[in-house]
Amino acid sequence: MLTLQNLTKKYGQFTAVQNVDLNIQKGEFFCLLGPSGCGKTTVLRMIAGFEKVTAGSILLDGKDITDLPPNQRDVNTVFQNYALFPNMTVCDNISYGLKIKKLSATEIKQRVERVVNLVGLEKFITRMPGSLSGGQQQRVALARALVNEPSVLLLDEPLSALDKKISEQTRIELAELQKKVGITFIFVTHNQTEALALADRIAVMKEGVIVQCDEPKEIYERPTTRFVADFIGNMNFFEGKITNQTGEEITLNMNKAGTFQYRSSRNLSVGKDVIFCIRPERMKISLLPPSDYENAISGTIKQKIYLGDITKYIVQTDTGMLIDVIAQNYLIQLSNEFYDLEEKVNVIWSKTSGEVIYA
Amino acid sequence: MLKKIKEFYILLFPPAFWLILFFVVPLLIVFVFSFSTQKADGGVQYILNLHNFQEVFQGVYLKVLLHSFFYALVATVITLLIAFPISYFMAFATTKIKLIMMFLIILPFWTNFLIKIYAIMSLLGNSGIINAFLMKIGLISQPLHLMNNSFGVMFGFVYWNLPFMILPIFSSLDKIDVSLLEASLDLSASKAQTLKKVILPYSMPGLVAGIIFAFVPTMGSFVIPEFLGGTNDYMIGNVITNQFVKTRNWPFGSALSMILIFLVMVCISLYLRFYDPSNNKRTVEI
Repeated sequence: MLTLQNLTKKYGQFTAVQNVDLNIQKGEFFCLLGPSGCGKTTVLRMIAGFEKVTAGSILLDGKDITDLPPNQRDVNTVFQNYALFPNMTVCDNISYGLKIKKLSATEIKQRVERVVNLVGLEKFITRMPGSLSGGQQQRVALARALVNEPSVLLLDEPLSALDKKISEQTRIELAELQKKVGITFIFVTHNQTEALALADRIAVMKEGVIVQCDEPKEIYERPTTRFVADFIGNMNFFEGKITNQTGEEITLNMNKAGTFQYRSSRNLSVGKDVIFCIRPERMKISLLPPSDYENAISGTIKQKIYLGDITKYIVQTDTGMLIDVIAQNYLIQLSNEFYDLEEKVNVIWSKTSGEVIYA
Repeated sequence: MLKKIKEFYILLFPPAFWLILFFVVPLLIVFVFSFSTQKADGGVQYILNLHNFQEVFQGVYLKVLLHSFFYALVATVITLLIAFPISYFMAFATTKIKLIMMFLIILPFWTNFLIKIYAIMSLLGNSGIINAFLMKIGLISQPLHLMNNSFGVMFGFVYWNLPFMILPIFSSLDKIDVSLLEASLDLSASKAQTLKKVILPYSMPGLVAGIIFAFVPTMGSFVIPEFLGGTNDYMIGNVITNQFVKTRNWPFGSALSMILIFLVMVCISLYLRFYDPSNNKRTVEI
């Protein structure tokens, strides 16, 4: 288990990472997610030992490794640019760490063979890294780290340099690989789709602080701050107040969009300033009035963006707000519900949809 | 395609012309001279024979050649030992420090060579700055002999060679991606192992260039031994200069020059046999 306690990193006056507390379980696929400059890579580099810790501590399986040099930590890194040794063959790259540790030749051979099979590099073992494609180089970097069988594997945006198709393919392989080897993975990315697809848990970072740490589904469905809600996926925001709560029935009075009903088992404080946020795919466009379990706002379709699998509508409400609504194209075709630009419509959503965040 | 080739030849012409006129032709002249004989008035008589070469291989000149080779070798090794740490520090320093150091290293090029030699003399001489300082603080009572001996020559060589060694080593170290060093440390290697397995292989092209830049001019040098050396520090460059300037035996001087060129070429090709800088495999560029 990896424990970060109050981990802080300062560069002069600038605080890159502030009081990060995390417990990462053995075998967990953990993801640090955030925009560039949020400190996620600094956290990773402190775990690897490349950055000195300003304050706080790092414990690996109960042992304090805060001040150990990188070569004495049972942790390996897959670098963003792969950092393969260009003057060594794939095989020499992979066996580098084992040779340094002075393992026997037969053991090195066995371990290299096993890991090479695992990542599917059999054909490339004698090649030089420079002659490999980005995806292949990425596997070599992965194999070179995994062959050491570390307690924790750190991955610094390993998919960001690959093109979309290969990145998606590699993502699937990475998830399978992690299950097979059972090593703790800590994965740094700014790509929310990667994080949602891969992680057991995600820590969303902003300006050096972890703003929310939870399972992907919770992060997506139940963001606790506007930042998380906005950073992950698309989101519509309405600002206003809670005016009433009777059991699970909550009344929200929105500054620019009138009064909504919201159903939740949460106990919310009446009178507080809140932000109601709802995903575009949770809303639909209709010419009919809402049912009694639905909310509605009337507006005009201002833009229609065809994206293949979906169509994105931008609707301007009568109060002047812009709302994104996403519809599945196959559903549009099934129900024959085509809407035109400038058409007056209702935007409808279920009272159970969306999330209330305290402003 | 044909047009491109034409452009290539047009661009090639000026440097080729220059090299042929001022490098190949003089070299050929020296080559022909080396098989000729000295006239009584100091001119060249074109009676081709091997007499000059026979004379070279008789004793004293061979000794001077060997001596020069040894000096050049030692000077190169000392320069290397000083230049590598400086280059290393420079390559991994911040951009600002890098620029300042680069400026300091290039600065001596703006000064005339002879002025620099005289500056060294005023530094190392018996009543020079170093001796005056050491005597003033009472560390020594007699001036140290820092000049007109092999120490003076070595000092001069190392001083002269340093920038030529530092710059190529720096330029190859500077290209090393820091993440490669981090990767090595990450894979359990110590700093010493990283130096040996990652940094040294990458600095090889610069090391080779630096060694050649230091060794070759030192081998043929004559000004530094003349000014800073003693009577025993006579190098092959001094012998050749004397043959041309004092004894006016151009054919014999030419023969010595040909042998020097041949020896230097043998050294370089032996060196390149073991390491070919054009065949390095720095192909991963990110």
